[in-house]
Amino acid sequence: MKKYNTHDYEGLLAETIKIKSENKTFDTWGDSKEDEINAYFAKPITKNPDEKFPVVVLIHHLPGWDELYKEFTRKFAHHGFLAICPDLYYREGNGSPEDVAAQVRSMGGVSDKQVIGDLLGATNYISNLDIHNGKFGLFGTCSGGRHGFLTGCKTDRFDAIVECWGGNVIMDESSITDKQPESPASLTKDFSGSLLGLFGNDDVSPPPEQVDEHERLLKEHNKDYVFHRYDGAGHGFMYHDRPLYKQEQSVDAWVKILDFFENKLGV
Amino acid sequence: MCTMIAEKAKINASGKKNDLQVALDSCDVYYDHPDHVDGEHAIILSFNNKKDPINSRITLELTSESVIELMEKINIALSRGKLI
Repeated sequence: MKKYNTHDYEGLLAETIKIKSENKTFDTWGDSKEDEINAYFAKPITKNPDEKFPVVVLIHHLPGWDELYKEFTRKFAHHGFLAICPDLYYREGNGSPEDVAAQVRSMGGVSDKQVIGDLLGATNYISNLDIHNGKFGLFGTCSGGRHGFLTGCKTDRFDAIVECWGGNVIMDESSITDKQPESPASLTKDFSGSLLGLFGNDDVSPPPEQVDEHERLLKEHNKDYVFHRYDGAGHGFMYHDRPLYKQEQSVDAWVKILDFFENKLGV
Repeated sequence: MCTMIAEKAKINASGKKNDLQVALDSCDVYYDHPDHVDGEHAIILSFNNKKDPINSRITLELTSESVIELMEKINIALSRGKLI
């Protein structure tokens, strides 16, 4: 994990930008056009103008594109990554993250296909910049953990994926919907890249037995993965702005996440 | 992952938000991780007006014990008012 001494120079730039999703919208004539959404983008500033950075795309959680995820985005940039977090709920309206997320929930969530299109749009944005090293990581918690694993099964765009407590990776028939038409676990054989999974043993979604099954499938298909499972932690144990927060487990998890991305993507 | 356990209720109600009364016609009831109230899960009541669901939203997070207590008291009040 990149560490700074007190006399070291530190810098980053963080701002809201527009990106083009890989999803298309259709006008009244049926013609497709590119779909534009917001993203929060943070990049390190260094003394070397020719430096290239690895990339981390962040997938925000069901509570929305909130301040916590913008903090996470800046944290990755602080540690030497180009970090970008698309607003997956952008199309549903403008308001506080909590209120927009409630509206998304009321509509049954956003579709898996749309989320993957938005994540690929974020990678396209950075691919067009001359400051990346060609290595892409993906990080998500909660619903974003599930989306991270699913995206690793559906595309080969990411070299390393961090899945934090992704529930519904294993879905039964009754959970399948038009917006979530496939159980990600059923696609395990197609997973590409390396996977780091972080879970709390007190979580009920995913419960430990589902994490067992998730791991069994990864082993069966000979995938490159590491799981860490924390005692005394439940769902969302890294959310320092919520009652779910567990300090000791969260600090350890951040070290594992940053080390994993540094090893797989280079810094 | 946060749950998608959600129920919708049609309501005829009014709520107060930023010193203004807001007409409310819908309530999503869901069971999920709370943003604020202590506990792993909570019942969350998300009241809104369908004409402007984001800006009209008024929300309550309740522990399961609180919900049970509240339901009991609401039923007593309804009964005393001879409404049930």
